Amino acid sequence: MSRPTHGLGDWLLQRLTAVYLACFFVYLLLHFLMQPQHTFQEWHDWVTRPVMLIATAIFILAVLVHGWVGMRDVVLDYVHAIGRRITVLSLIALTLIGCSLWALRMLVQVSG
Amino acid sequence: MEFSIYRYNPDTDKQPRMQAFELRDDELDSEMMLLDALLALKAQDETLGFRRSCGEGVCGSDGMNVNGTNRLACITPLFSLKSPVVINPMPGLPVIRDLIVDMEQFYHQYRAVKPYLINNDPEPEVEYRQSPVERDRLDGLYECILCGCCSTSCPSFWWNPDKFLGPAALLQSWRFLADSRDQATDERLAGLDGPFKLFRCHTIMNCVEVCPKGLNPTRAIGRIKELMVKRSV
Repeated sequence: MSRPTHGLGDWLLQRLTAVYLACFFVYLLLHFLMQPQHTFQEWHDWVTRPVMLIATAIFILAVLVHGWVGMRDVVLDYVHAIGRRITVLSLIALTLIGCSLWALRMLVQVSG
Repeated sequence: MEFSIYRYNPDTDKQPRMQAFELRDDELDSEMMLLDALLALKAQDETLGFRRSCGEGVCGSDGMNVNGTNRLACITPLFSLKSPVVINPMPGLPVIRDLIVDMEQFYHQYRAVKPYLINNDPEPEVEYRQSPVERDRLDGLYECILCGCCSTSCPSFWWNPDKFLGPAALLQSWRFLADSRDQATDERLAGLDGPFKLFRCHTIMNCVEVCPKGLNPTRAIGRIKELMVKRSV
């Protein structure tokens, strides 16, 4: 699950992705407040700009990493039986990877 | 004043229970500390078990959970407490009897951080020298009396007392990392990596809230992480 030497790496990744997620959310909020999009076409044009596509892809990966470290921490705190821990961690990993692939697939489809 | 005190003798009792005690107003005085009240209660019922020694916040023997907060009974003014005073053993450690807990797990984690100076140079004839600035870095770290109030109020220590070092041991770890005379920085940091020993700390800060000496283990843990980042990039 957690490589014995990666406490610091995981902790740093969680912080770095948190900063990215916070910035991205603020950007989204300001964007929709200042330039409300009323039609699908307007939204489509905005979201398929290369910069937005890359930023959104990074956002999806950041959610994946941030979610994994956070959920893993909760499991390490509360789930102690090793079999149960491996099962819960596997389910979380599968869910996170599944959701991320699904989101990335949508991004590829919308960029057409 | 009323008291409700945790009683449990694992040899004879099936379940722990709370026992009610009372001290009459003429038995109280305004200068009394909680430890004085416990001694008066022990005169009423000599089977009541608790640890104590110096009676002035130096030895760290009488850590206990008072009205929900870990404190040293000897430096807790009785009249600062709301009646009934509910007293439990420090949480998260096995109870030996009544308010006496088995501190072995706590000491085990303390020993694990090698709480002593590691210096491989030939021993100086007189002493290891430190500048006043270097010495000042140890303030707020060396004063720990190992009472256990911090670690036993830390949820991360409750859940993983065998794997997470806990705030007291980590404060001592930083005390030696911050010491200009110590030469084992890399070895100490390597010993702290991994998801459990240091990184179970989620900055809940109960440790800071309860420390009877006013120390700040959370800040020390932050400094360790900072040093790890500096050393790894």
